[in-house]
Amino acid sequence: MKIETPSLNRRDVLKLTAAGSAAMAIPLQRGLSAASASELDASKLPRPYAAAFKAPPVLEPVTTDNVRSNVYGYVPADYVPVPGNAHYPGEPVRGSEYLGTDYYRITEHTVMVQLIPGMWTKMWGYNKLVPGPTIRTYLQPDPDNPGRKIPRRTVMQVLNELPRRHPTLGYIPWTSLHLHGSPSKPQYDGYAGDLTNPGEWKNYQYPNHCAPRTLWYHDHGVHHTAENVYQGLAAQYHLVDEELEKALGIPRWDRQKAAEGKPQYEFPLILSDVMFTADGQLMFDDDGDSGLYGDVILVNGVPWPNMKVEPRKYRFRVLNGSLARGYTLRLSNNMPFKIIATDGGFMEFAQQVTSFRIGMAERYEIIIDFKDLKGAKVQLVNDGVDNARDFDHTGKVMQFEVGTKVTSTDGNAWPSVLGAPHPAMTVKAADRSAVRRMRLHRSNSMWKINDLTWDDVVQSNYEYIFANPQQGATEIWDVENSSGGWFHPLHIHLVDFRVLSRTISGVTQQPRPEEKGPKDVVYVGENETVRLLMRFDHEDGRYMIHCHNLSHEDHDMMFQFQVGHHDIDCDSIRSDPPKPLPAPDFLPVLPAGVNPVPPVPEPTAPETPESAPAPDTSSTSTTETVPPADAGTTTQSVPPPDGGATTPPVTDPATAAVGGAP
Amino acid sequence: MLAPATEDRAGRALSRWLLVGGIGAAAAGGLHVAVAVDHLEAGELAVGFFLLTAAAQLGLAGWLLVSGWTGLRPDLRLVSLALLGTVGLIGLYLVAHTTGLLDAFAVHDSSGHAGGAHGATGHDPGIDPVTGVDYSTGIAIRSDGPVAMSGEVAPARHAPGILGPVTVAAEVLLIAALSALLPTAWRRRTVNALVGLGGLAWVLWFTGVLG
Repeated sequence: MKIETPSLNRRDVLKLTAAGSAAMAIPLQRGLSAASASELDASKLPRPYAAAFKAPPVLEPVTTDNVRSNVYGYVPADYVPVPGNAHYPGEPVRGSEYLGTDYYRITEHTVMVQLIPGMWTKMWGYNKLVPGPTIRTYLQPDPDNPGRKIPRRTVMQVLNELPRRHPTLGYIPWTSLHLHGSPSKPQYDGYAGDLTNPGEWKNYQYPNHCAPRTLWYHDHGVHHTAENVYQGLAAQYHLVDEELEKALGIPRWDRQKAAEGKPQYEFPLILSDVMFTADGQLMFDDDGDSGLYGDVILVNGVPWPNMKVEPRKYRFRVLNGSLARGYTLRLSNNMPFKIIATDGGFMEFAQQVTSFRIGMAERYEIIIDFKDLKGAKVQLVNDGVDNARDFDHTGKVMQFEVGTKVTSTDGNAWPSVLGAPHPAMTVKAADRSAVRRMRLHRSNSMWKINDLTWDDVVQSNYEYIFANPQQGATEIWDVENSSGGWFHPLHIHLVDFRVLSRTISGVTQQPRPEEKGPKDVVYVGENETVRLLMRFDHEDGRYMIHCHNLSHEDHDMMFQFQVGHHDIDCDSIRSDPPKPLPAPDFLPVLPAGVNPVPPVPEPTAPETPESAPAPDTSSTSTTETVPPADAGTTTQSVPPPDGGATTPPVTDPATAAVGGAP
Repeated sequence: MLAPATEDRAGRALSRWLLVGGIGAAAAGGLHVAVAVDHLEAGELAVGFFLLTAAAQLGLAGWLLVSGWTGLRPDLRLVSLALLGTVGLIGLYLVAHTTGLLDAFAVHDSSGHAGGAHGATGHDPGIDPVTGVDYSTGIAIRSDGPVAMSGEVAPARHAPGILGPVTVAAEVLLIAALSALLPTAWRRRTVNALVGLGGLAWVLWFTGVLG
C-alpha cells in the first residue's frame, strides 16, 4: 500500500488537540483541584452540620488541698552547689503566693475516636480524649487580704504513655506540656529542651497568678509538635474569676448547674482541620514544612457540628487549634456579635463585630445573641485568610440550631464595658527601655528568626537569646514578615502584650478590633510589621518565642529571650526534669493551715572547690519517716525518685509525692 | 501517477511530517531517559520499562528522520505500530497518575515541595550539648506526599511533575505526525478514535473512575 500525501486538516488538528488535552490535563487536575485533601471516598466523608456538637468534659482534680504557700518545687537533690551561688539542693523554689492546690493527672495515650461515622481513627489524647479535658481553676477571695483575690496552684502530673516510636513517622514521641497563656516558671513552661520521653512523667506546677483568661494546654515536643498536636494533644484551660463574671452578668459555665445537669451557656470551641486516608486514618502532609491544611473542619473534635441553642446569649471561648489554617469567622446572616476577651483576658471595652480573624493559637471569647433567631438555623462560617488552602467545605465551621424556649436568663448580658483595663494594656510605650526588631523569614528551606534557627540556640548550649530584659522592664518589639506567601502567628511565652500598630506594605494602621485586648499571639500577616508593647512581669528565666504555624515552629522558627537571671531555680531543663514511670500517687490532702514547707536548714558554703568532682550521691541511704496518725502534720522525709540523695523534708505533693510509689 | 508538481508537494509534506514525527519521538525518547532516572527508587522493572520505551522512541526517531532525509516512505505497518504504542503509553500514563493500579511503581515527587527541611536540605539538629538528646530521633520520617498517621504508610501517588506533561506533549506531537502519515481513510478513522479515547478519558474522570 502506498502512502498518500501526508497531511492534517484543521479539523484533525482540533480533534487531536482535544484528545491530547485529556491526556495532559487529567493527571494534573489532582494538584490543581481544591475539592478535598482526604483520600477517603467522598461518600464517607462527614456531612457538614450532621453531627451533634459536644464539649470536652471538665476534669476533676485527683485531690486538692488548701495550703497557702509560694513554693514551686525544690532545687534538685543532685544539684552541686557552686561557690558564690546561694542555691543548694532541696532549697524551695519560690514564686507567687497561692492558697490551695488542685492536683490533676494527665496521661498521654493512644486512643481510637470516631471522627467519621462508622469509622475509628487512631489518635493520641490526654486521658483518652480528643481534644483533652478542660481544666478550670478559680480565683478566690483572700481571707488574709480582704478585697484581694488569690489563685489556687494547679499541679498537672503528665504521664507519657505513648508508643516508644511513632507507628508510621518513626520519631520518638517525647512531649513537653505547655500551658499556653500562663506565666509559668521556665521549668514548667514546656521548654523545647525539657523532654518527657515515653515511659516518663513530670509534675507541672502552674501559678494562675494572672488575669482570668482562656488558656490551652498542648504538646510542645521539639521537632514534632505539629504531629503531636494534630493527633490530639491539645485542650482548653480556664482561669476564672467567678465573682467578676457574675458581676458582669455574662454567660458563664456554672459549677452548680453542671452538678445538677442544667443547661450551660458558655462553651469552648476548639477549631482544627484534618484530612483522612481511604480507611479513615489521619493523613499528615505539611507540604514540605509549609503547613498542613485539612479539608475537614473539627470543632471540639466533631466535624462541622450542629449545636442546639436557646434563643438567648451564649459565650464561646474560641481557640484556633489548627496547625496552619487561619480563619475569618462570621455568622452566615452577618449578625453582629461581641468579642469580650482576647488571649490574655477581658478587654476593657467589648468589640461589636460581624467577623474577626483568628490565627493559630489565638483565643477570643465571643458572645452571640440568638434571641431573634427562634426556630432558625445560623452557621458560623469561615471566610478564610490569605494563603490558606481552601477546600469544598473549609468555608463552613458549625451550625447553631436555635430553639424556641429559654431555660434560664441567668448571665444573659453582654456589657460594652468590662471593667478596668488589663495590666498589659496600661503599659506605656514611653517607659520602654528597648526597641527591638525581629524578622521572620525563610532561607535555605529553613524557617528562621533573625537568621537563626532553634538548632542554633541548642548548639549554643541554649545561650543565644533575643533579649535579656530585667523583670519589670518595658520593651517594644517590631515583628516583621516580609514574605507575601506566609503569615506567621507569633507567640511570645510568659508575657501578655499590647498590639500598638500594624504596618502593611508601608502603611501604618491601628490594630484590628479583635486585637484591642491583651495578647500572647499576634497574627503577623504577609508583608506586615507589627509593633508590640510588653512588660516582663512574673518570672525570671528563659522563654521561647516562635511561630505557631507548628510546622514552622518544628523546623525551626523558634528563638528565646531571658528575663533577669538564669540559674538552677529557673532552669528550664535542669530545675525539675522528668522521671521514669511509674508516677507516684499524690499525697493525701493536707489539712488547712498546715505549713507546707518545714524549715530547711541553710547549708553551709560548699567546701569542695569548683573544680572538684561532684560527690557521689548514688549510694546515699534514704529514709521515709511516717508521722504518727495524730501528729497533725504529714511531714515526710522523701527519697528522691532516682534513689539519690535525701531531699529535705517536705509535704508538697507536687514534688514529694510518694504514696504508692514503689 | 501523480503530476511532478503534486509529487514534489507530497514529497515535501512527507519530509515535513517525518521531521515532525522524528522530533516528537526523539524528544519523547530523551525525556523517557530522564523519567527512568526519576524512577530509580521504583525498582528495576520500572526503570527497565522506561529505558526500553526510550530506546524504542529514539529508534523510531532515527528511522523517521533517516526516512525524511532519504525520501523513503516509511512502512505503513511500522507507522501504525508506532501510533498504537504511543497511544498505549499515554494510556498507561493516565492510569498511573489517576488510579492506584500502578502504585507499586510510584516514587515520591520531591520537586514539587520547597521545604524538605530534614534530609532534603541536610538539616540535622544533632545532639543536644546540654542534655545529650539526639534530636534526629525526634524527627518524623520525611515524605513529601500525604502520610497516614496510623496504620501503614499510605503510598504516595507520584505527581506528574514537569516531566510527565512535557513527555505527553512530545508524544501528542508524534501521534499527530504519525496520523498525518496514514492514508486519508485511515487517518480520519484514527483521529476520530483518538477523539473518542480523549472523550472517554474525560467521562471516566467525571465519573470518578480516573482522578
